[in-house]
Amino acid sequence: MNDQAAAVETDIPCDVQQVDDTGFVWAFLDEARDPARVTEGAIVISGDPGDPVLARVVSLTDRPGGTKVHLQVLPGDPQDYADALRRAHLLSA
Amino acid sequence: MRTDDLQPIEAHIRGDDPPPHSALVVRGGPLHTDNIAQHAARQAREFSYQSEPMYSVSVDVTSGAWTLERILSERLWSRSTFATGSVGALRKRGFLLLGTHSQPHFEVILGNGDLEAAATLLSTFGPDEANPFKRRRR
Repeated sequence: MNDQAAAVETDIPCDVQQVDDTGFVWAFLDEARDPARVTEGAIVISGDPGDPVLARVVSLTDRPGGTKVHLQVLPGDPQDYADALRRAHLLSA
Repeated sequence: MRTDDLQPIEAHIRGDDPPPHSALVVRGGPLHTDNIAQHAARQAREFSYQSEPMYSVSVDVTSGAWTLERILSERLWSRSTFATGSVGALRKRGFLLLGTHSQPHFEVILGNGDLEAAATLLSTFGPDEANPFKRRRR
């Protein structure tokens, strides 16, 4: 893991192989760094610090074990999105 | 939380034939015991197996159209590394594989899901390999 990866903080971690019948990956809301940011439709950083991914929050469902968050992993590396935003001057630095 | 509140995984087990011993079990990185135990604990908060919390780890298994290359490119494209083991090797170490949800997804039942169980599972895999289908390298 390089220095950049070590500094990465996910909004909510997930295992990209851990899917259920919906076909989406999932995690529990109480695993989120700031649960208030994890709302339906929100774009979050998920995965793990070594290989983060962008994801869209599909749904939040109350389950006996906690609030289950389904996530749609978005294609491409998060850095690709940052590069595109920078090219369009939507992101500085 | 009562075990009765968990979703029985039995309702989600596919009816396809068990994979042959030679099939490859594929797990994306990071391949660390603490990550494996964390994912197993998450699964046990949601699913039960044989009326007990199910500590398990998700893996993909090669079969038919699901070749290793397809799994790496379509399902594990975000992973820098991966490792493989054979179905036979996992069974030999006493691990149970359940085909759940959609192909090529399987659960590896991990006993009580502790770090020792995670380490035993990881010891059945070969070394970490670079994923040639990782979309971008940092």
